[in-house]
Amino acid sequence: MADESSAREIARRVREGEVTAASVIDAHLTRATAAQPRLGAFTIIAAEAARARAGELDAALARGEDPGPLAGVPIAVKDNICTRGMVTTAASRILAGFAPPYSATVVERLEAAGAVVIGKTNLDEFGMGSSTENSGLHPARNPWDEARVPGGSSGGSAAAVCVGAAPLALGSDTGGSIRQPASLCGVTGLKPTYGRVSRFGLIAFASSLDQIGPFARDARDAALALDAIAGHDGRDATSADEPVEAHLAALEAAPERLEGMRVGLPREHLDLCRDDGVRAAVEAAVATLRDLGATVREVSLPLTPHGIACYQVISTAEASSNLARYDGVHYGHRAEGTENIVEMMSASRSEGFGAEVKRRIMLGTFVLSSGYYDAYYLRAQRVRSLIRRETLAALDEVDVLVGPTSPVTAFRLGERLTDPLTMYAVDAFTVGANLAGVPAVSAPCGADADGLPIGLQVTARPFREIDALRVVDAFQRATDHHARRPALADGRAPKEGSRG
Amino acid sequence: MAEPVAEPVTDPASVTVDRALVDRVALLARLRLTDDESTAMTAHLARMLELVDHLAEVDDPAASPYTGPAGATRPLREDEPRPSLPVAEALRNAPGLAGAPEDEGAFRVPAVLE
Repeated sequence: MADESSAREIARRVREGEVTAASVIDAHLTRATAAQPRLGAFTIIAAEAARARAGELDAALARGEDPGPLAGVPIAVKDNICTRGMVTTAASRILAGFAPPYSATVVERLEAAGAVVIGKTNLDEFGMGSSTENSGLHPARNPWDEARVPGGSSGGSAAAVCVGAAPLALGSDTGGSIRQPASLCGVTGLKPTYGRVSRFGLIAFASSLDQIGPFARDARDAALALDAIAGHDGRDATSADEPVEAHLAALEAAPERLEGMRVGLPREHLDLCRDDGVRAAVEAAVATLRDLGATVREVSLPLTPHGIACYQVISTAEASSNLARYDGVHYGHRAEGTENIVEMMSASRSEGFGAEVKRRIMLGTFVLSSGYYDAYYLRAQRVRSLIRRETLAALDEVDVLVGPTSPVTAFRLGERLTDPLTMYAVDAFTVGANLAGVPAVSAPCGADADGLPIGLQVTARPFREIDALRVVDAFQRATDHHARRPALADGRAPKEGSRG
Repeated sequence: MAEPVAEPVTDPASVTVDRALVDRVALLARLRLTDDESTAMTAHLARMLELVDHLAEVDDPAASPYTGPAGATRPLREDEPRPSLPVAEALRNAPGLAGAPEDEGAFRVPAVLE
């Protein structure tokens, strides 16, 4: 029996006329608005546009049309994903007020399937961070403890799903930006294979690493969202023309147990995890997978300790190039009172970018600059090849890799802000999937002594999202970690009757 | 107006992260850093390069640098002309157009030439 508030249950009820899309959207807008002053999860809540869209869906239903598998499902969209006419800022002052002339392919596909965008969610500026404290607007907070961060960079999307402001959200993941906040907020987050989901309309951070994916409360809702957004798009040259499986149907048809599933446990991921609570929860989850019939064996990813250095060189190099477009000429912030164009560009960029973005542009510009390119950029690209090779070799021996998503649970605001390297360190187990281009899911697998969620990361072979989702789905049918909700969500949840 | 040119740097082994290097990189990146920002950036860049230098321990000079994921079909679309963004829409977010004639159809910037 599906959770009443799951995306698939909402869509079923809307399609069968049990509730109107308008009532569903109203209930979620109420929840999003109520939580906003405390969590800052949204950059904007698009109440008017969402209500208008819900009205259209209800009219279509009244005419006997079927709006699609996401009929009336509210969705929150990370604010680095373009929404036509709806302000999209990437949480940067340099894009304040920017209204994109087009929507991202993922947004078009979700809307075509009947989903309703209820707002844009907060992030670390341009996706650069692991706490959403680098937002140029305001930080977001963790629904489990408002003194703590929701993770990042897609912290707003994770927090929104956590409190039930929306059953689904979109994020983007360059080095862990979907999985790490999913872990810290206790929700399910999927980074698909590089090329599985179109990046057209995603504000680029590091183009060879960026990938859009869903946040949900469980694997089945994540599968429902993936089914809507996956597949080739001629507007993104890196988009793969590979067959797309019906992920939700496959999960529903799959046996409850995991007989035949081969699970690999990278020993470096547990060895490098110093938090006893996190390690214990992951070990207990592995025991559950074994109880479900999966075979578990240790594997080795010896390059794990070098992932962050490799990632920092490549991602900042690409960022320095991608962010060159913000120069005050065509759109975005322009500095006042400058005498010539070079001064105008430098002043606009210096006023518009935050400290972390400047740090990354500087490192990226340096590693690409004449004389240093071979020693830094090219070396990192060679190491990236080795990391990809090592990851794929491990995935030749097993179907999925399992370990902690984040070495720590949600940390306090400010705790890692003054020393950027301590912030980068929390991506230790997530950057590998981006560097190798493979899919990975984070799902809740327990809580630490303070009740803060712990995430289990499940990594699969390229275009085998289904393997990771199957493991998570079986785990979620056998346990209830994913059903645990913070008091904030319970306190704010409108009564069920108000929907219908 | 002559644009200042950054000094070329050639020998990675001799890299000293100092204010002069940071100022050259900032110029290339079109960032104008305050004194405080330059000082902090110098320390940050030095620490990052220290971290990144560890890649030498696992680097294999015989390995091919990563150029993109192999093994999937990524077809390019047909090279056919298609409608592009209308000028008015492209200009809708443009700064500095206050007072420009509505039908000018161009972005406006400060002087490029003296």
